Amino acid sequence: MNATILVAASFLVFQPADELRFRKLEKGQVEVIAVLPKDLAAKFPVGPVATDAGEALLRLCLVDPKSKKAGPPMLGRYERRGNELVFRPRVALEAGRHYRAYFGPTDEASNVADYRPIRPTPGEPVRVVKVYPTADVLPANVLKFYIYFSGPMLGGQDIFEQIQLVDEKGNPMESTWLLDEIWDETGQVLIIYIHPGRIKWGLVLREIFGPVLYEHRQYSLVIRGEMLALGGDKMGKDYVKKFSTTPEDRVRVELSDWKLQAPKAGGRAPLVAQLPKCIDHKSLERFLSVVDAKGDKVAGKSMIGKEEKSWIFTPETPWRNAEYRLVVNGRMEDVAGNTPTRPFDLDLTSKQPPAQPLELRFHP
Amino acid sequence: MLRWTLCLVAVVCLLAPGAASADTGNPGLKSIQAIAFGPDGLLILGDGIGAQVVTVQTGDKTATAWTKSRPGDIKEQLAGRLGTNSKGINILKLAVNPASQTAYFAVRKLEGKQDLVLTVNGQGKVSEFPLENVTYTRFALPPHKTTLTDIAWADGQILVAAQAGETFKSTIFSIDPKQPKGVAVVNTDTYHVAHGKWETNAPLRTVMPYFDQGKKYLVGAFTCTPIVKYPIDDLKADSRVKGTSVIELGNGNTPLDMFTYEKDGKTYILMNTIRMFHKRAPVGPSQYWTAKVDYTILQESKKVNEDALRRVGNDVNKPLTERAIVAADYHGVVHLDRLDKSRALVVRTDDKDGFTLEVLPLP
Repeated sequence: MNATILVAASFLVFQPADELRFRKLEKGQVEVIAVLPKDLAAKFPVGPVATDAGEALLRLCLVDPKSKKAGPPMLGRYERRGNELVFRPRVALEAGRHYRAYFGPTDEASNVADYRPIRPTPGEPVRVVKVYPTADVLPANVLKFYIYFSGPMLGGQDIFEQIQLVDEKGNPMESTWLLDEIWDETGQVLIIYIHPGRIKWGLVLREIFGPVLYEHRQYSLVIRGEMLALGGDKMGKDYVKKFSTTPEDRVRVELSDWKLQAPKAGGRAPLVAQLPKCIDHKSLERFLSVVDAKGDKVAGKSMIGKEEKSWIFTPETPWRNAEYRLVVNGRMEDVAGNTPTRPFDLDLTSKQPPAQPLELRFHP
Repeated sequence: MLRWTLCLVAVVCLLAPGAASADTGNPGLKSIQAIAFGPDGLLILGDGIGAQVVTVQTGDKTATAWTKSRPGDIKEQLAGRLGTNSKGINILKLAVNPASQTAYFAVRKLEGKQDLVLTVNGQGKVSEFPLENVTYTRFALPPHKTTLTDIAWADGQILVAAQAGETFKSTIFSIDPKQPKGVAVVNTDTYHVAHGKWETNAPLRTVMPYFDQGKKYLVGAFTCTPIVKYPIDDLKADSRVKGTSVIELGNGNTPLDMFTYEKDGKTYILMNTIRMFHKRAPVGPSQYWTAKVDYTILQESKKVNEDALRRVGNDVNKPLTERAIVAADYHGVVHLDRLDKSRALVVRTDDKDGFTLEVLPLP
C-alpha cells in the first residue's frame, strides 16, 4: 500500500487553492484537509490511514522563525473521509507559531498552506494568587513553598532561575532549589523545595554553601514576571513574598501542645484546634480527621485558619454528648518537614521522646 | 567526607486495589515520569500524578539495527514531531527495549503538560508509542501525588522509587505482578554516619536489581552518590531492614541512570550523574559525567557503610581507587541505557541547549 501510494503520488500534479486547507476544531485543535485526486483517492480505503502512507502525501510541520525551514512532520492520525485525506495532529498547535502543511510527495513538489494559530487576545495576565506557607515569619529551615497561579503555567527548568530567594540587599541566594518540577494536574500549583542538602545536618552541600536561609534575617521569595504562562505569555509583574526567619525548627510536632476548643454538644459549632507552629496546609487538608468513640469518621467540613496555625472542623450533624478524637496521620508535616513521629533530621545521639499518641481526645 | 548507611522501614503491604487483570484500551495515564522494560517488550510506566504503575505489552520484539550516532539534535527532532521546538519539551527518561533495541523516551510537552512516549528506532525514525488501545495492567499506588524517579524490573518484580511530592519522603513501591493482593510500600530512612548522628529521608534517584547467591537486591543511588543495596526478599511488614552502602562516588553529584554490563569477563555498573559543584570543582568538561564501577563491589561485606570505599577524597580529580573511575567518553551524557552487550545509547548535551543521540561503546 505504501509503495503504491508513493508511486502514485509522485506522478500527480497538485492543484493550488482550496485543495489543501485547515479546519478549526474545539480547544485549539485543527485538522488539515487535502482533497485527493480521483485516481489517488481510489487507492486509499475509507477510514484510518497508516502514518507512513499519510506522511508520504500530507505533512504538517513547524516552521522555524529564523531559518524559515520546516521541521519534521508532526505526529498525528490520518484518515480518508470521502475524497479527502484528513490529518489531525497528536497535540494542539501552539499559539504564535507558524505551521505549514505540505500536500505532495516531497516538500518541493507540494501544495502548501500556512497556518498561524492566533494568540487569544491577552486577557488578564496570569498572576500569583497565593503562596504557602502564608506566614511572614518562618523558621530558617522552611522546606518548601507552594505557589498558586491564576492560570496554567508553562513550566520547564527555567523556572528555577525565575523563582528566587533574595536577601535583604536584593542578592539572590545560590543553588537554592531542588531541581524537580512538581506541578499539580492543572499546571497552576507548583511545589518548589529548598534543596534538602542545604537543610540537612552533615551534608556537604550545607557544609560548603551553608544554609539557604539564616535565622533572624529578612528575605523575599521573588517569582519573576518572566515566568511563562501556558501559551507563552509572560506573567509580567514580579510577585514578592517578604518574610523574616526564626531559628531553625528541628523538633517533632508535639500534639500535646495543640489546644482544642471543644464545641458544645447538641450543636454544630466547629471544633477548633490551635496549632503553636505553622503546619503544611496540604498536610492539614489530608492528614487530620475526627472520629467518634467507635472510630467511625465524622462527616463534616474542615477549614484552615490564619497562617496555617489553626484547623477548624464543622460536623454535618450536631455533636453528641460523647467522646471524639482528632486523629493525626504521622505523615503530617510542619513547614520545616518535621512530623509528629520525628524531626526532619533525627539526632541519633540525642535522647528521643517516647512515641506520642497520634490523636487528641475531646468531649463536647 | 560523608558516610551514609541506609535503612529501610517496611511499612506494610497496604494497598487494596493492587493489581488488576490485563485490560485493553487506554490506561488513562496522568503523567509518565519513569519508564523501564521487563521481558518480551513489556513496557513499565510510572505515573506519579495518577498514583499508578502500568505495564503495557508493546509487542515490539523485532530487532532494529543501530549502526551509528543519529545526526542532528534529538531534542529538536522529538519536539518537532510534536509541533514545538526543543525548549517546548523535557526529555524525562530514556529506556531501550531489550527485545527490539528501540529507544523509548518519556517526553513532556510543556504546553498542555502532556506526557507521551516517543520512540526512535535504529534508523532514526521518530514515532509515538500510542497508549489509546493497548493491553495493559494497572497497579494502584497510594492515592497521594508523588514523583516517581525510576523503575526497575527485578526478575519478575517491579520496583519503583519515589520521592518528595506534597510530603518529603522516600518510598519504594514493590510490585509482584502475579500477586493481586497489593503493592508493598516501603519507606526509606538514611543515616548520615559521617557525623555519626544524623538520620533523615533521602530519595533514591535511580535503581536497578542485583542478584547474588540466590538473593535478590535493589541497588539504589542517592544524591551525593552513595550506592546502596537492599535485600528485597527480607522486607517484611513492620520490620526494619538495613541497606548497605558499598561505595561513594563523590559529593555534590545527583545520579540519573544506571545499568550493568559485562566486558572482558568482568561486570561493571555504568551510572551518569549531574554535578552541582561543576563550576567550583569540575569532574569533566560538562556538569554531566559518568562513573564506571566495578560490579563486584556490590559483594563487599566488610568495607561497607562507614568504611565503604570512596572514589575520591577532597580533590575530585585524585582518585582513591581504581574500582570506580570516570568514563571520559561519556562526559555530557544526560540519559543513558544499555543498547546491547557492547554498546550504550545515550543522549549527550553540549551544555549549550544542544542534545545528540549517540551510540557509544561500553567503556
